[in-house]
Amino acid sequence: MTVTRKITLTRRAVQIVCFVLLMYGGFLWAPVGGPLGKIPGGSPRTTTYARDRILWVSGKESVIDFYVPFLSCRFTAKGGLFKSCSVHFFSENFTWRTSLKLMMPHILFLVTLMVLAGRFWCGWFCPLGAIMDFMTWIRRLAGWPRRYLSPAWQRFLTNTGHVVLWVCIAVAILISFPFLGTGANDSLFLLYCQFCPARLIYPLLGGVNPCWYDKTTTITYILSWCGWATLAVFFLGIWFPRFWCRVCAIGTLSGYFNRGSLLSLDKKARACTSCGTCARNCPVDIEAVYRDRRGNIVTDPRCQLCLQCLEDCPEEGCLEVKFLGKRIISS
Amino acid sequence: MTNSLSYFRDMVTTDRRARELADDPRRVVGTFCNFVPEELILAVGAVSVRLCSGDADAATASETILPREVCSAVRATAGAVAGGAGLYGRADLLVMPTPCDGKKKLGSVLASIRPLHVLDLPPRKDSPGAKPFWRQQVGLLAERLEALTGHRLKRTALRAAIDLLNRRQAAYRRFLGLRAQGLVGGADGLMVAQASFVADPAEYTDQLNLLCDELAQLPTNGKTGPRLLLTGAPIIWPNHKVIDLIESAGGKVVADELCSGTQRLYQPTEIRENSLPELIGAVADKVLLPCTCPCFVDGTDRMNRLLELVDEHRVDGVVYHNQRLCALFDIESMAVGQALRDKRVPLLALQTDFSKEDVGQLRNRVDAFMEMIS
Repeated sequence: MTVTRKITLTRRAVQIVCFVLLMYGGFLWAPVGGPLGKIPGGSPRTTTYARDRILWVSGKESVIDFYVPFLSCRFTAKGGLFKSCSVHFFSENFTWRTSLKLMMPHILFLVTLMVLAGRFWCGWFCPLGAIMDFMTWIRRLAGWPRRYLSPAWQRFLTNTGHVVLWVCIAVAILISFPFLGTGANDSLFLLYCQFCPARLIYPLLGGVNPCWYDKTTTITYILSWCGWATLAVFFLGIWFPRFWCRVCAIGTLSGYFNRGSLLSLDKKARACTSCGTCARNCPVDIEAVYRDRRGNIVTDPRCQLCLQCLEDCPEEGCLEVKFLGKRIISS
Repeated sequence: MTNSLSYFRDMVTTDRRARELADDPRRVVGTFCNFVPEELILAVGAVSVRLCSGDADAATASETILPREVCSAVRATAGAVAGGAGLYGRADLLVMPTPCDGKKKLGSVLASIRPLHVLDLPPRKDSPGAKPFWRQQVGLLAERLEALTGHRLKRTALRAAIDLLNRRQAAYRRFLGLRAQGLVGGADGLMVAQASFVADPAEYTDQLNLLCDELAQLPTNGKTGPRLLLTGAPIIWPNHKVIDLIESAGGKVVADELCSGTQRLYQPTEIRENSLPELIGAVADKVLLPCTCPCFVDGTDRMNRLLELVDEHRVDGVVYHNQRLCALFDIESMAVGQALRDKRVPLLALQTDFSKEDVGQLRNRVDAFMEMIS
């Protein structure tokens, strides 16, 4: 490399620090939480304990009693640094019918982070994203070619992300109704977690068993197999950079805030020479930055603000990151 | 100053490079236009020389193989290749892209004289089929180059070539900044760019950095004449009469948008992936996507580029060099004129060719334009 890529170097440093803290924070600091399942102050019905038993493999609460809009996982060994991710928060608290008053600080915290920076958290803080970036790095060292998804596949995966997110939230609300009986609750509690690759990978990285087969009910058993499948999908990230990010429900939720978030990627269209560098170096195949000919905000809902486009853009001032309209960094 | 410029002058005006390459065991690949990715040629261990000619005598000499009603650039190139002097006789393979009718037919004419590979261009840069088509064409070129040299194209070699040309590009951008301050004359600026047609890239980069170091020491002259942007058809050495006329009338060419000038060295290849297909794709993109040649259907990129250069260099006027018999630049001059009028930037459109006959008439127009804008 002849060029020093300062933004990428910084991002790698942030990713490594975050990875270590989120994955091993529980080892470093004593967790603050009370008994299992008291999250965040709501009281789960006894039946949910049965389903919640995969938590026992970690056996600890988190260090910091907050949820974050990227993949911090409750099932990390020793509880991890943060409580969990945004989807986990909505899933469990809707099911438990936690009162709005108790949920409010958490919702405010999550929404504030997402309004501040949208999916920036995915690109810079998410340990699962860091693992995928690591896979990409290995592939590049080996000189293997990157694979590209057709636009149809990209659309399909993005749409799948939307569907999965809303189905999981809808299911979380549905199973809170007693008339469905405890069976539904046993089977479908924390639906997303049951097949989320982070739920399998994070405990492993902390040296605990991630509960490969949940035999509580037939449905949970099937969902365990779905977990195996998504793990396989996750490792497609070797060939397709940040593959899981395209379907990740947590990222999808943050993505809704991407366009309007205070942190934005702006383009000065006239300075653009259409060289295609931004599109070629984008890990999630966003072409919008390259195609745009009108300028202003070009933040795509899938954009994680990894800023590789900005860093590689050969035109001075063509791409810039603004926070509240104030320029922070530009190409 | 002349000290550092002498390397570039030698490259452009003497047969120094031809003598250097006379006993070189490497294959020499002659290219035309900017559409041939030099990185591929370097990566297979061959020497890349761009053989576009601006020689009026060569244009006259082409009369036996081309009709008169063809643009001077095509005729000069045909004449020079047929003449076979210097590097024209040394080239083991010619690579001819197909931007315009002249170049297309030039390819078929020259194929009977020397081994020639035709590099097909898509008519639009970003139509749905353009990308796979262009990458396929560049892939075919790579195969031809492998066959020529007997070397496999390797990703490490290609990465090294990309890095080398990126260094050259960085040095050239530095040079552009110094030229914009008026530290280099327009003809010299063109000469520096065109030295890269034939020069060894590593040596050229070192020399250009030396030149930049030297220029940076010079005091910036406070008030020069009107600052001008030069655009239009390629101005190729030794046919720099338009620049000479501008400068003798007191104008200063501070920027250009010529494929024989700034465009030649302006673009870096930024690619993070490391596999051979990705690297080939990146160099293929580099020569095609940012190109502002009017041979493509859509001229938006060119318009944006011109308006950006106008602002960036605070130019007082634009000189549009129309090559006689080049319909493409001629047609696009209307749209460019309109865009510049909208921005109230004065425009001088000149129509000329490689002959010296019209110098007097051009001088009158250039002088009048300078008077108008200064």
